[in-house]
Amino acid sequence: MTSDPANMTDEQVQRYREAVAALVAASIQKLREHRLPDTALPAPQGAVHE
Amino acid sequence: MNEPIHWTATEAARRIRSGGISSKEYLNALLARIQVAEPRLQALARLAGDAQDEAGRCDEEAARGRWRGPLHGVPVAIKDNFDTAGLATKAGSSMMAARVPSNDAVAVARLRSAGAIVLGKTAMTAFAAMDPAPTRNPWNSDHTPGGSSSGSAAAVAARMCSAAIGTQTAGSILRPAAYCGVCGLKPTYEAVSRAGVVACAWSMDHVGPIARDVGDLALMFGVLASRSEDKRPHDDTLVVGVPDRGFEPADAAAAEAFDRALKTLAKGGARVVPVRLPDGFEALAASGIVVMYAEMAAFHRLRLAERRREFPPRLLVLVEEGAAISAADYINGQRIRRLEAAALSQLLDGITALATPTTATAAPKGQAQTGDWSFNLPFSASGHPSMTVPSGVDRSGLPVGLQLVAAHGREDRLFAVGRLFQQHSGWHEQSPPLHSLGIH
Repeated sequence: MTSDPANMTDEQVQRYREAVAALVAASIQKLREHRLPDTALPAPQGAVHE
Repeated sequence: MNEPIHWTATEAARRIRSGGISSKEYLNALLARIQVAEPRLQALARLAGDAQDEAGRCDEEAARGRWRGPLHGVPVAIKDNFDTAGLATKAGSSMMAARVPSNDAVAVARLRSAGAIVLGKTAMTAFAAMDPAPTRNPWNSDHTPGGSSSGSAAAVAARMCSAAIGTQTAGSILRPAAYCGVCGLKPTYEAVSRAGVVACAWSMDHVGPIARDVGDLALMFGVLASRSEDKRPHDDTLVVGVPDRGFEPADAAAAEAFDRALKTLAKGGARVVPVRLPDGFEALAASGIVVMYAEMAAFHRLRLAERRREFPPRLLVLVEEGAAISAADYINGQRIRRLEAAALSQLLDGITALATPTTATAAPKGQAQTGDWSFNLPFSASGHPSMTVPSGVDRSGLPVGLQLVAAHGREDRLFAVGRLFQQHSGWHEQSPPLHSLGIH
């Protein structure tokens, strides 16, 4: 009988939460440092939509 | 390699059409492989109960000279987040256990219209997030097959089927395909319909095929996107750009495989040139992370309020962290994403394809994680088409892949470079060792 690979201990969940929170925080910081234009953005290219 | 299970979808379709084998005989060959390999691999969530009947109908039609399309009589596996009429669609989660759609997703309907037979549904991480599926890597069952399209990649590698479909939000087609030693295509955003596909993060979700060679990816893409292949003029010389940063392999074997792949392309006649990524490329990747987690939180909001205890642990963390992202950060993430995708387009418009390793390493050991998608995410954020082809093995014999990226709508350029690489490398013809599949 093998254990479900999706299972985690509470400690593993906590470590995972810290890693995800750090990744999101670093990503938000990177975005906040980015200069956006005061004027309208160019039209979407290809099929990338907001 | 002349056994039916080793045929590509193109070869199987050709042999069925020429009368060399019936659809039922081909299906039975695949089912025999599934019977021996599936207990070890756990690549399939469930088989379709009507596959035999469908194969029989295809054979009857063939006898009358009626052909449904280019995949007539070829069984194809479907990731479990695509709606399939009359066949449960659980998206890898017990929370969707009772869900039996009455209609096919558009992608599934297109495959059926082209003559494909739905073989069954493939195992996946819950809601295409990070909680691993039970699937094992066909090359070494101690290693992850990657995710979230874990079962689709493993089933194709293990010769349970010649082709499958999957979805990618960060790296969920290319990463498992590379880890399992097969080819995968993430088309341009919205080139293939997402209608009838359970969402992960809708503005980054892509539908695409997994197969064992580039020809099959092109065949499947043509069917899925309702597009004829290679109608555009080909580039006279294929120009392959190698980015200046951000895609360094994490070990010597992966680095050697990438260097060898570039040399192979050059030997085949491609011009391999260094290129400088736009200054904001790292912000594009950051926007992808913020947008993806915020959309996951929005998608699961009601389900989380009602059924929090049933969420698998990693998905719960991602949804809760995503819910803490502010509206302003999400919206600016989308704006930066649009700007930086446009900057990347300027680079891609001037070359045939960008080349990077698909992943920093071969499949990591252990089943508790599905590996690193960071080399794939920027192109899921930008919506540019990307593709992986097998490009070697590491020191322990696990496969690694070459990632190619092209301008929006230029999947034909990926196929051109991929075909050149295949022709001069042959890595796509490698198959996993039989003992790893439980075959002795």
